[in-house]
Amino acid sequence: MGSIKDINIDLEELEREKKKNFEERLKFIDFWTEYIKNNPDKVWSKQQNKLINSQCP
Amino acid sequence: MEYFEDKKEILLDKEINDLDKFVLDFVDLLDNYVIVSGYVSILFGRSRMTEDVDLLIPPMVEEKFNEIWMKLYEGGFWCINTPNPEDAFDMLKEHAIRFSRENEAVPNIEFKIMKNELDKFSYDNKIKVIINSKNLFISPLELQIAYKLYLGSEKDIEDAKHIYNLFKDKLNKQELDNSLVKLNVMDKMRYLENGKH
Repeated sequence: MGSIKDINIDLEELEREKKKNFEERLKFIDFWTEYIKNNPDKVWSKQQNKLINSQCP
Repeated sequence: MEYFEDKKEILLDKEINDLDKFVLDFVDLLDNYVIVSGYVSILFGRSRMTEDVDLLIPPMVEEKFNEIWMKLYEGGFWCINTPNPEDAFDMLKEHAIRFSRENEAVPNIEFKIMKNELDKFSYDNKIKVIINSKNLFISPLELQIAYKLYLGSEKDIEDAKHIYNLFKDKLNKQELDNSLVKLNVMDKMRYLENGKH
């Protein structure tokens, strides 16, 4: 098995990816909140509930 | 959903999920409280889960706490920290205690006594959310947004943006500005307005 100490990690690249990922998630929030505003509560909540109910015991 | 800002009421016609049911069942046993932080954004559709729901209650004497304790136990909830109400009351003076459904640990309610002016402001200015004829009280949206920006993790900023986007046309702009100034997070508004670092 290889060791992580043998690979090169570009921390600046990881940082750029992290920022990009966060910005993408903020964009998704723009999309999802528009969806919520433009659809009845029952429609968006049904989708949200698939996520929530799958994680509640 | 509809926000009647003059009446401090939000009407929600959503399908109740398991987390909502847990919270509604719990607060049904309380007279005075306000829900703050992460669950507020989840209540309004944020697509994430949480293991705890933050709830503030006014300071009280031990006798009153024992009444609440009995109601919660009879209602099928237990305190994760201790089975002894005297110990729980002592703990509350120092930190939050957690309640969950009997013999479960998550999700749980992080039950905290109001300790500072910010807590008191949340309670005094709470908003009523009416969900399918049940009521729930949450902290004012302007403070909720600013406080999430203050907490500052990516998850918290996303929570703030979710609430800001949904209600921005009806928020009290002056009160939002005041909250941002008080918590010293004016610079973080950029996340809400253009989503940039």
